[in-house]
Amino acid sequence: MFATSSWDSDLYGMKSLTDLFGCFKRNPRRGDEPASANQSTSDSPPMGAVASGMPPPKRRAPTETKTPPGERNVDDTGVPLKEALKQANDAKIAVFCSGNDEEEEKQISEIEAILKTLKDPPETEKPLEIPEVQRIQVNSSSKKAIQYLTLHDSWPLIYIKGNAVGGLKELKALKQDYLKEWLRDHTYDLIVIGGGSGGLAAAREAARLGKKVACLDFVKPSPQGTTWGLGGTCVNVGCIPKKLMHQASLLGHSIHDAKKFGWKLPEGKIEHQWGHMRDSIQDHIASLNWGYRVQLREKTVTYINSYGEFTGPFEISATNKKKKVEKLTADRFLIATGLRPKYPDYPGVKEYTITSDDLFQLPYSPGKTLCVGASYVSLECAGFLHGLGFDVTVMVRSILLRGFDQDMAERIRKHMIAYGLKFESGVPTRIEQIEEKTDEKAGRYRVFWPKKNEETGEETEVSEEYNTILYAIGREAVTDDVGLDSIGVERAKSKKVIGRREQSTTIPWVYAIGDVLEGTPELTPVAIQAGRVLMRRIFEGANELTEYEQIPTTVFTPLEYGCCGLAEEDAIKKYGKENIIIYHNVFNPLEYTIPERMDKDHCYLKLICLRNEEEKVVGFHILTPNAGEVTQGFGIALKLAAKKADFDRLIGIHPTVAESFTTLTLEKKDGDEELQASGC
Amino acid sequence: MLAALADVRIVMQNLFRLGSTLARSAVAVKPTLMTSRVTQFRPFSQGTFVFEIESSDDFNEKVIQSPVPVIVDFHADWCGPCQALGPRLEEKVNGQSGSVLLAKINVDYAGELAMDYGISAVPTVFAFKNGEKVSGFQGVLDDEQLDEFIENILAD
Repeated sequence: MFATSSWDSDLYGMKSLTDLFGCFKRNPRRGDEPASANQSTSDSPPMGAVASGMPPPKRRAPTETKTPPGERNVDDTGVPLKEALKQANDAKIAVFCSGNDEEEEKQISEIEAILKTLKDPPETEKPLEIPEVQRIQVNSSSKKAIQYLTLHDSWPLIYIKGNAVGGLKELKALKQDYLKEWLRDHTYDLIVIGGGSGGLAAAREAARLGKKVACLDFVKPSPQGTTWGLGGTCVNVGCIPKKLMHQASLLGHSIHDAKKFGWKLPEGKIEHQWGHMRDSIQDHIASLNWGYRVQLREKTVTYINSYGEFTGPFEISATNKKKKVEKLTADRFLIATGLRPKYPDYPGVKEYTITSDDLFQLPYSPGKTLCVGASYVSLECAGFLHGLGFDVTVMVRSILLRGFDQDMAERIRKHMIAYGLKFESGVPTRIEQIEEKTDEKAGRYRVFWPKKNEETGEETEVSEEYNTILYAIGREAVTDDVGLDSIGVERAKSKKVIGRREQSTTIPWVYAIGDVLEGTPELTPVAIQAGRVLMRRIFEGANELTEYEQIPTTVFTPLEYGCCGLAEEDAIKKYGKENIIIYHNVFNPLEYTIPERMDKDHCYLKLICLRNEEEKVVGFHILTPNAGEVTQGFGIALKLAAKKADFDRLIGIHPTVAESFTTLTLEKKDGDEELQASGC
Repeated sequence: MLAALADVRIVMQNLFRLGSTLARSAVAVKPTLMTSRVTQFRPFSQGTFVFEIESSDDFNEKVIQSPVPVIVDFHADWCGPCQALGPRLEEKVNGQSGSVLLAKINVDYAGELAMDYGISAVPTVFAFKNGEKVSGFQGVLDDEQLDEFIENILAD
């Protein structure tokens, strides 16, 4: 998870405070306030305010009265939706029903019969209390809403301890002893496994809602021995150090630009000190680790620095660094263990290479570096390392930035080459150590790979020497040691948890969020949002879903790439080429003109619109300095279903790069020549 | 981050118990490649009236049970204001020739202890007398305020 964290803003706020006084706790965040703006109110429309995939909520016009009296009574029986969800949430066992069906009645009787079989024999010392099934009768629109919210088609729909279980079929699929154990009391309301962006946000939100929560976090060392503190990938080995090193790299260029703007700089070579930057960044990270710890304590979340593993359907064994094991039980579990870098499988690779887990704490200056992989992690690391003055090569097997807009990916490649980075096509097959690394000095390694002769097609082994080899070929869920299989939590091939929304498809009291949930974007703010929204849903019965579409994001390559919505190829696939119209342009940031930066020829933007839907914008792409800042703001336009005409009627801010979106007229067509930025 | 260092740290703690602050720089070994930063100690100003605390047991023995008042400085390496306060506090305590002691607690190494005492910001400074917390402050004080703080501890 390498996205820019939404934590940044308040942390910078803290920094200014520290200058004056001390390193104090941070300002309260949005989600920490007692009442959440996201919660649906009693007069909100039936499907809640932020349903995924639903049309954006339409605000009721002030003159409009409530539902006309004639229509109001149609299907107006049963408990109102909000109240119904609340009841299901509070009941030990509840069944949503329509209340007018014989078949339904038959099924409820069968549910009750199944529960009766859980009764302990009369001689049992502490017999399990079997609660009455609470019937919650709802109307057909509420039924639809509940089925949409839970993604369960089954009806009547069973809830146990606030968790949607499904219908009779799903209830029968659960093991009897699991069901029995479920109805017993447990120590915690929720145990969160993983103290990263998502896990921490969820733990704090659940605690805010008055729940008893434990959060387990334990970082297994990387093969190189690197570990870190509380906060997960983003804070320790992802977005935060990445963006700071990107900034260090950009500053190097600013020094160069400064001369052209009239700054007289001292003679001689201006050098970057790796160790100094690393220490400053690591100090900042340590302050964040501490901040998270304090936040957990303030929210009365029990923090346990141990590795959690399921040893029963409702039991976690938590092993600390001294190998001491503690057993904990809870009613619900949240898997938020995230991802770790993947390694290829050939001898020496784990000894001689590093990953992004290690780079930001690297004791020595990396020197001549090979970045293997075409992921954004690889490109970002290659970009800032080159900017810091290192000789960097990126080795890729095929395309760059799979899953991203390929037109933009190609532009990034062109820019990076012009910027001085080298690209090699291939896959390393072996590495030889020439000189071992020490704490002070990078090692020397020879990397071998087969290279294809373009003309003859013949493959010959070639090699090159590097000081540092960084593998960034992807990240994988490390869920093998969490005991998920032992209790029956279904996992995908990727080892991620398969979810019905964020709920395990097989074990209804287990949930997953963030990078470890199959099929959702691997981004910090997504995990945070999913964690908070899920907690409000399962602990408050909130009618609220995380929206996994139109997520703005930015790749922090030397020239940043921001996007929101669909890639060009995805838009074509989804809507058909003839239904897509693309507006695009090149532009020259004013700040780049005087220093004559090479980057100026690479800035580019495009809007992908639907021809037949009033040119509704479905894709937003920009290659520019500060793309992150630009994209975040425009993201709201896509959320609100903005059309090209809306961009046109927006007045630009002059002189900025973002204003280019307000003056787009050029249509992108196949076979067009490459656009050239004009002068003034 | 301390996992790999646990053993080394115990050894170092024992060395600290000998009372020599000079020992710190002597044991600044680098046990693993990636954790070298952890061992970069800033030597405290010389004198035996300033010591480091890392565990509850240590705290109990050297602060709670101390016959003389002890000022406890919860601090962190990453905290600028701590660097501004720490050395001045050390100097002033050393100037008292043992009538008051200074316990330094790095919150990154003694997280549990910091949590136990409800530390939410650094620097936080407490004064302990006969095992009880008698006064304290958060943030940076100027020299005069520090003198007053120490005088008050010694006063009654």
